[in-house]
Amino acid sequence: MARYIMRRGIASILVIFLVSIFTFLLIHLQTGDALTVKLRQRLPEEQVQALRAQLGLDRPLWEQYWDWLSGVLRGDLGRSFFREQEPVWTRIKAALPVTMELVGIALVVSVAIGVPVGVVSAVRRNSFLDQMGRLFAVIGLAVPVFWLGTVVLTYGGIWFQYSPPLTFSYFWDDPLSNLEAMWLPGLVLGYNLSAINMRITRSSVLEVMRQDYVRTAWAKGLRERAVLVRHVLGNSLIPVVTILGNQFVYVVGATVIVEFLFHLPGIGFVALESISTRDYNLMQGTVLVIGVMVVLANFLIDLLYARLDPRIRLGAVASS
Amino acid sequence: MAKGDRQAAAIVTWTRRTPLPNVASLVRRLLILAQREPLTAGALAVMAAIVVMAICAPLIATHDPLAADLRARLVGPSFNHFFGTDPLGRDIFSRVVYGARVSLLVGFAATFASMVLGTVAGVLSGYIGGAADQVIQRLMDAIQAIPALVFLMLVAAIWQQGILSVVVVLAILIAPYVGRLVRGVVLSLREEPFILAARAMGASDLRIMIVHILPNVMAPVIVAASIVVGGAILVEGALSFLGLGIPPDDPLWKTSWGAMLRPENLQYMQRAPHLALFPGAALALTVLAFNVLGDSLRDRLDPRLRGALQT
Repeated sequence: MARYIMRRGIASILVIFLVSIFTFLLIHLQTGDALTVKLRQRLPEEQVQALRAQLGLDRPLWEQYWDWLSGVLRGDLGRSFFREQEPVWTRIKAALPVTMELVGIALVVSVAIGVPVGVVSAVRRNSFLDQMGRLFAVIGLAVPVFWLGTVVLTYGGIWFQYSPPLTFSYFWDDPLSNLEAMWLPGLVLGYNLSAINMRITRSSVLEVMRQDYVRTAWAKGLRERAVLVRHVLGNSLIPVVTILGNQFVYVVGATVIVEFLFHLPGIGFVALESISTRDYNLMQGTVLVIGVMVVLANFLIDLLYARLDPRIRLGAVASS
Repeated sequence: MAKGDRQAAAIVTWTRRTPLPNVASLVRRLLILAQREPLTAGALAVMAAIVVMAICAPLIATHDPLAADLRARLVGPSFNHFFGTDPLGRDIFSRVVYGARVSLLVGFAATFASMVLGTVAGVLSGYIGGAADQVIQRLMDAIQAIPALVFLMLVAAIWQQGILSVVVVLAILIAPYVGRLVRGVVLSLREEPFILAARAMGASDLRIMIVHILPNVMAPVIVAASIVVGGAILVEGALSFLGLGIPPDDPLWKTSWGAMLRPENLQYMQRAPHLALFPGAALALTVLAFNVLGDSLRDRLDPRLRGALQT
């Protein structure tokens, strides 16, 4: 177990490092020069050179990267180009809780809908309920979040006079008004995810129900409930946990859309703003933080997975 | 029979079963399909309709998709405008018809490119193993750690905005999913007797990878690809929705379904819900058709994969 954690930990740190290089190169291979081209149209050459020196653009790329990385390690993500050069980290720190809360609500909703529907679908295979459940999942996978959000806002407005609150307050400041702003976007995101959960749960329950030990449980004369709860459910939820990692990446991406539609000041919103204002430091910081969030979540899921699956806990399976 | 052989055999029978261009037999087969699997047949019909729409867009569109008509703004669905008009008085039906081009092109091109990339990476990673495997795997982890949409937003803002960069970036982002799948198959193939035999007969690694391994990973790759297409189309839609993909008045591509749902239209939607309904429904229906066909292909080619791969 300790060995497994170590290996996953080292791999995670490596991946974060790679993500930081990606982000840096993606932005710096292009923007340094784009900036110079822009400036040359307006300023004399000496001033352009002076500005480049001031921004550190005249130094080799790896040196610039090292500067940025060492800053990041000290918790300094640089300063925003706008908003009186507010530190990037201040901005992100304010946005993180919003996104985490949204992601949390979405994951809870998706498990709360997806898992029961999936179990019922599998247990009553090919029944009417199963057909309905599968239809629900197929539709959920096909409907884009941005359309679902748009439709919810449109018809919410027409039928219920709903509009997203204009001001936002944190949960610890004003829980009620916070939840008022959060519940609908959380539900929209959660529904979108629940389709995947439902499918995974269904196929996994079907798989487990074919196992010998489940047949033994039936043969012992256990009631259906006992078989399902004690023997099937636990093992069939392992795949649901493993795909949580994939879901997390997806849901963080989708928060960009949902936060934008519902005016929530989360990470996705900041990312979009930094891109539309071309605020490169903020962009770089946001993407890095998103990457770190995803890698951390995957690491935690790996740990959880190890706890759930004795084959990994006891080191019987060499993980890659 | 080895697992890889089974997959290869499945592909062979599948190609053999594919009907020759004999119309009567094709129609009969389709009718049988419609009876046995109505959902698949329906998806096939939707797909055919969308492909025809994309190819023959100029013939099907009733108006110029970019022509504004300020006297007919936000008109509801009618005989003149099947799906109504948008805030600039552009015909939504014609725009939806043209939008099919972008979605299909992005879906197919990105998926195809990611299949190629992912297969190469997966075969190398699985067959060579060791340090190369570790490097490729960590690279794939890193690519997967950044949400596709965020990555695309960055590229659109900093590098280039447009259909080509969407396709290229999506291909890179999807490749790890294919790569991991391929790697798994290759790992199990590597110790198969026929590979060992080939090696014993002095075949080079390159020859083994191309002649013996590649054909055996094709079935799972095709299945994975069929499942990935829908996701690629959705991401393009989201990007255009955020204003970083295809613009709503592109001179060449006209428009994308995502761009038609641009949030600046939100203020009109409560008065004219047809603005939101038609492009979104077209997008959802297309993705639905791809997903259903992908599932059915998966069930046909490889029952073991059922539920194993999700995007």
